[in-house]
Amino acid sequence: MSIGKYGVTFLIVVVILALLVASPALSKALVYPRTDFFSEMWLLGSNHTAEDYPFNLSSGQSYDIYLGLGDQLGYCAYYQVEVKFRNESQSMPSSLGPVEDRVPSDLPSLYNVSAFVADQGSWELPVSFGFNYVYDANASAVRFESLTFNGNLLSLAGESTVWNSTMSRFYGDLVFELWLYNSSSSSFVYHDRFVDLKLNMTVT
Amino acid sequence: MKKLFVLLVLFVLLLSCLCVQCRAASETDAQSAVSEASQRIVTCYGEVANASSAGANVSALLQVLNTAGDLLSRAQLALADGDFNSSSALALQSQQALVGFDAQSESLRSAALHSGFVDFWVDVVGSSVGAVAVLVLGFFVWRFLSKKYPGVT
Repeated sequence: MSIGKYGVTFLIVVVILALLVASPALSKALVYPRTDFFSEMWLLGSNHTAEDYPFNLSSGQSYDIYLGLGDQLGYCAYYQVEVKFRNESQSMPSSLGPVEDRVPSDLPSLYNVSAFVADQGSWELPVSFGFNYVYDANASAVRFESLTFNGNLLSLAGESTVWNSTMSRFYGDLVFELWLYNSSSSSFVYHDRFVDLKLNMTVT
Repeated sequence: MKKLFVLLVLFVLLLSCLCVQCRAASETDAQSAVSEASQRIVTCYGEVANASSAGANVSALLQVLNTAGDLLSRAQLALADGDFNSSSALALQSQQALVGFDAQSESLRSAALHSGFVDFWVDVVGSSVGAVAVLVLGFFVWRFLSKKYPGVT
């Protein structure tokens, strides 16, 4: 009896068997390396969807949104979200264009939210906010007193916004800037990302 | 009467000096407490980052850090508002939230390193050696069969 004609079959069976046994090692060696490292940032409306964002605000009322972060940096990240409020004439952060053009708003942070997020993990914060303001009919302006942010009273004394006749509103912009802790410099650096909520301060 | 008046003025002056000192001390204390809490969080973050890079599941530790970070944010706000007592108390709470954190993160890191070591030996070394053994065994089986059933070319 000759088994020569079974040689190829035998070889294939042995190689397949060897590949099966080696599969745990191969699964580690053949993983395509991650090449994109970035952070995600989002705002969702009160229904936890990308709609129904608060727009027409009334003084003293509370509104709900969700602020979220995603970490795809390849390591556990320490973020800080700086909460800022601006009117039309005040500085806005930027997140597009060349790196040197991506700068935070020069407005002071009203409140800093810390967030620690695992690699490939996400973090979400329900945000409840509201403004206290008065309407100055003589100046046709809204004068802000405070912003309530998750139960924290943040002073907006001295801030105001004038009537925008083009857009027909008293413009306000609630800005959330993303900063990332840099272990080398032991400080937070602007992470080229922000989300904002454009608002209309209604008056009666 | 005049002596009494002078004594009274001195007493008021002394009292006001003491009050200013108390306030200054309180502000310094609050700043110091916030600074310490902030530094403590950075240290703990470093430990979590190490544990995470070793492959540990650090989600529970991150929850603790997020709680401590929230307390620190409130402490910083209270400090900015001049509410030094609240600021100190919140900064202290932030630090207290991190009690035992070092041991926990080190334990997770060690467990992850051990698990990674075992996984390496089983998954990488074990399966590689196993695959080579299968090939070698196949070779010898083939040789045995070809001797037992001559005529193999």
